[in-house]
Amino acid sequence: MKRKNNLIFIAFLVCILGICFPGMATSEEATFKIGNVVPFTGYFGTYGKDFKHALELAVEHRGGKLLGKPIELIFEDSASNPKVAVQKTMKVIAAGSQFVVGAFSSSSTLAMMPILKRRKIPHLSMLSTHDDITGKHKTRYTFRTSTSQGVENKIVIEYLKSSDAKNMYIVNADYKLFHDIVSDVKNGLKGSGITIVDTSSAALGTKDFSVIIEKISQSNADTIFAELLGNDLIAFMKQAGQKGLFKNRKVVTTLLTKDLCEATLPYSVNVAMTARYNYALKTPLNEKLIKSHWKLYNEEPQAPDFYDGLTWFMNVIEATGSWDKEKWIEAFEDSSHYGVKGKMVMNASNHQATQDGFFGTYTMQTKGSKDPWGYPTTSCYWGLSKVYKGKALYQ
Amino acid sequence: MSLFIIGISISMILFLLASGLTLIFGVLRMVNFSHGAIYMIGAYVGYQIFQWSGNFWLALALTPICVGILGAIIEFFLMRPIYKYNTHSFELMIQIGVIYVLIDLVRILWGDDYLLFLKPVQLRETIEVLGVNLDPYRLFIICLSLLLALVLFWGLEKTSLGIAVRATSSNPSMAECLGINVAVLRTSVFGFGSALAAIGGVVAAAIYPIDSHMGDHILVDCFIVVILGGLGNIHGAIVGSLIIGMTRAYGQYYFSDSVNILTFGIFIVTLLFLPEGIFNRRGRKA
Repeated sequence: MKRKNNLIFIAFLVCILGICFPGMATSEEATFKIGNVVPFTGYFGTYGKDFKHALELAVEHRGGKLLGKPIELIFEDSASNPKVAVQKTMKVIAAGSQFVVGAFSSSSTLAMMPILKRRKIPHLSMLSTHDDITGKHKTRYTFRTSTSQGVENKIVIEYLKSSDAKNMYIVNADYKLFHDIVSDVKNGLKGSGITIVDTSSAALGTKDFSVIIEKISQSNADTIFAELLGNDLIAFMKQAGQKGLFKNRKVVTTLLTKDLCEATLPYSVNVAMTARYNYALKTPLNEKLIKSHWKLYNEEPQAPDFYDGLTWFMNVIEATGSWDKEKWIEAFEDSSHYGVKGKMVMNASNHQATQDGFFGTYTMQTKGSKDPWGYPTTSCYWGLSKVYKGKALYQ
Repeated sequence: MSLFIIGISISMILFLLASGLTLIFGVLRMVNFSHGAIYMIGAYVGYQIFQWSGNFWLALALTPICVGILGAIIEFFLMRPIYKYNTHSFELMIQIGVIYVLIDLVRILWGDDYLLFLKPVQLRETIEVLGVNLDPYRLFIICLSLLLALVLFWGLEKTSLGIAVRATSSNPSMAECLGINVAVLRTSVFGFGSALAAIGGVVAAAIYPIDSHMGDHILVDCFIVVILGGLGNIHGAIVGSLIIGMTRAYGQYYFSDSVNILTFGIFIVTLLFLPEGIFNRRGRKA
């Protein structure tokens, strides 16, 4: 009986200590852990290693330490699947992550957000574009340092209005995000003098675009707006190019990354595309990133958004000098950053970083060509044609 | 007319896969879920042979041999030991394992980057037929598939090997009693089915992007074709391929937002009235 009473008393004391000293749970750790939920497998698996490289470089460039502690990057594979992203988010939280980076696809990011909000853990989204992330579903804990889809659409609309496009055919992936993009662009072009000839959707994973290509070739379209993703875009570009569809037609897209451009040469030459990053931009941080990336990986940075976003947030945390996450959030809301993309300013009301937008065209480079930094170019080079200032874009 | 040719070419690529799948089912009584992965391997092997030799035709000739041997090895070492358990769940687990192993093998050997595989030079320029611009490569796919179909039908109907295959698919025990080496036949059929899938992979690689998951999407259509036509029925495979291929082509043209609804709708309605498939099991089997 006496022993039982002693045990009850000890348990009571432990509870009191836990209530009186809640700060103990947020006290300093041996390392500063950052959870990274990014795809290494699945539909977007090809990008995972680029994200990893960018994040590791960001850590290396600050000497591997934050708030005096060594930084530990914890990587978990979201498998390009929102359900898996959620599980992996819980895993990195359980591992003690101070904040979480990820994911890549908007659906995965949106799935992660409620958990991070519940657990009051800061979250950086650095490539997901869906407007809801900092719009309808915004939370106190999620910040986006890259462009939103709405802004990219604005850039496309402005470019098309200023181009000589008269009749446009739209091909898009049969996926809500792309239907929203198309709807946005159509609305933006009303009254501009550009006629939308027709729209065709293709299910994700479509391999054969020959029917759509046939429809385009029979139409009077002089411009094709192709909003397709990854392999679908490759299939479309290859098949359309082989059919000679691009001889008298301009292609505009927001999704032809450099590796996709190279996989679809020579058909991807002169494709006009928005970009979130201008490789040739001369900023100190961009120069540092480019030189390090070439030295380590013998190629230009593939995920500069990840490098930039993480660098920014780590700088903000360091400046607070505190382990209190709420202080980080307040400081981040009131911060700006001059990074690889130029000046970025965090909008406190929706946690979306305002930044400049870029538009340019792919050109084919001959062997031995050098880029503006003196490094060898690959066969595809995206050259800037216009800058859209952040202030106007994010109004 | 070009839409018609496109539809037929889509059907023929489906037939190349479906014929192998239905042949394997007919003889081995096994639904080969790893067939899509083998098609994918065919695309990668074809790509590699093309990289080494620069010759598309050599890639087309050698790839089915290489992948056929791989298929035979898979059957011999992985499938044969579990026949005695007479349970489909073991087969399914092994096939899923094979899928993951092949996908990871591809990623290790070729990486995750997109690969470029062009059509043969002779078939790149469009040709004009009756005032319509046609893609000669698609015409080639149609001709190749029809030729293979004829060879398959002739082989099954007119040769002693074909008789042995039909006998084994009909009654393996009796076939064995009559002196047919059923084990060797099964391995050969699996290898041959894999070779057919590999041909599909090579011809598709010149127009579709090559990636480690390229087999996933086409396999669904392939299963629809095989079930629609009747499991184990080669005639059914060709009819099923034509139905699905043409539905996809014309559906994409007229109802691009609803092409999947159309395709699966036809599949469901057909099965409601003909649950054994269009060519039921009482018909000729592979």
